[in-house]
Amino acid sequence: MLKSDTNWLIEARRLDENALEAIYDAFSDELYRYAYRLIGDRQAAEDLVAETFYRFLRALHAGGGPREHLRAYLYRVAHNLAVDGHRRGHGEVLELPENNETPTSDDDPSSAAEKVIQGEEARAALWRLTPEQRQVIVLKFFQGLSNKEISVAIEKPVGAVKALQHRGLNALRRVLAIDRADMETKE
Amino acid sequence: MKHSSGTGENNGGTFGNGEHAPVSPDEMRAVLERLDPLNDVPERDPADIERGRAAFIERARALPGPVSPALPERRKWRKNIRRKERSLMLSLVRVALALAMAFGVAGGTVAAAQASEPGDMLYAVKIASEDVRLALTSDSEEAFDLLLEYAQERFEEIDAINEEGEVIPPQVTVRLQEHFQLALQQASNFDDESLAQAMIRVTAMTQQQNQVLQQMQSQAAGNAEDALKQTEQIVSRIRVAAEEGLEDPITFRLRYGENRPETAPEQPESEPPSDGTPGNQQGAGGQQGSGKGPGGK
Repeated sequence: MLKSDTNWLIEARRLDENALEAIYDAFSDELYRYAYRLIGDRQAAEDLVAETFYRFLRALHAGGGPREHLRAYLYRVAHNLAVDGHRRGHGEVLELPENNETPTSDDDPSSAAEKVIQGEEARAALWRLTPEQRQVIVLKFFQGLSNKEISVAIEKPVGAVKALQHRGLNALRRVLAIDRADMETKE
Repeated sequence: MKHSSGTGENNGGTFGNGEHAPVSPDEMRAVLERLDPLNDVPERDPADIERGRAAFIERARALPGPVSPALPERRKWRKNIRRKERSLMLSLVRVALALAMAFGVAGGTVAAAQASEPGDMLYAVKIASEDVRLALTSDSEEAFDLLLEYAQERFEEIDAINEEGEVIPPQVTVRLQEHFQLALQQASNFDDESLAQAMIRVTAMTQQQNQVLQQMQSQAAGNAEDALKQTEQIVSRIRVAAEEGLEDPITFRLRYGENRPETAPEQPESEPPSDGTPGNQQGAGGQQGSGKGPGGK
């Protein structure tokens, strides 16, 4: 049987297990990558994915949740959860997870440690953006969403997405101390 | 070990100097290079995925109210599910109208065809509707988005076919390549900043696809290996082209632009699979080479 996306959400709204499982299979991986990029901890990313799907479930059960744009909806929930979690952690320091898994197969411990530090520095820079700038930058350049998809996720027009992206990149340039004068000299 | 995140969020414009000045492609590249470590994401443990899925379903069962029992055909379901959300109703209506006028195809058929896979009866309608939708798109950025969406769709079809142990039809691979190449042609019309963004997006997308393809190849049966290898070569070539576009936009525009001079650098090799099947001659859209649709600017 062929199913359109609308039918898919209709089935999910009835809490059909096949639809729910399929939705989990379709989106959990990319949500995990999204969460890991924001948090930097494998277990915390898994927990965030689980909580995202649970919120989705509760919304469906309460008669709410998305009527369309499920992917964007899930990203929105995940991002809000990540921001809440970061705020609860006071947002002042980013700690490396205790059982930090280095996502590289590099055998050289110093090189692996350096990669971990670089990852944490990149994450720290991201967290200095406004929530919307951060959301746009990660969704666009790391999750591969189009401006249109992002506009649905952040519930703003495409023009606002472009502006947030521009401001986010500019802010990152400054946070990362990329010297504009240096760049011009190189050119 | 702790890393201070500094003084917190930037409040969207408190950095002063240069905050609103345009970000040049070089600056953007420098910023994204520094963020590149974010691409190092450890693979999920399959056991975690199973646990996560089971917990999700358990939570659904725990909610009061009816829950439909699972059928032993989850994979079939998965096949019919599109990973990308498509709020295409408006577009589909336009496409359906165009197809109805041209071939007498009903709108419901076009909508139903969107979930079809290669080999399904409605797959030809799906492909035709994609071509029509692309032809109706006059904006280069929209066409670029659409072509990347189609390329991802072809890639997911390849993934699904491979997972089912079936032979990957050569025309799917050919179309994947054509979508990417047309996307690069569209991008050649962009200004510097948009071109850089587009190339970064193609690079990220092809990187991800190459990773998936490597996994697929490591588990592939003998007869699938060649097709997967060929797909990997196509995706790699596109990735290289995008990286070159980022490095050297001028040469990229000469190579992919619609007004290519005779002395322009050659485009990467674009061979169909050796056993290419008929029916591929039409190309992956009505815009090849033109960069704009019939109603183009």
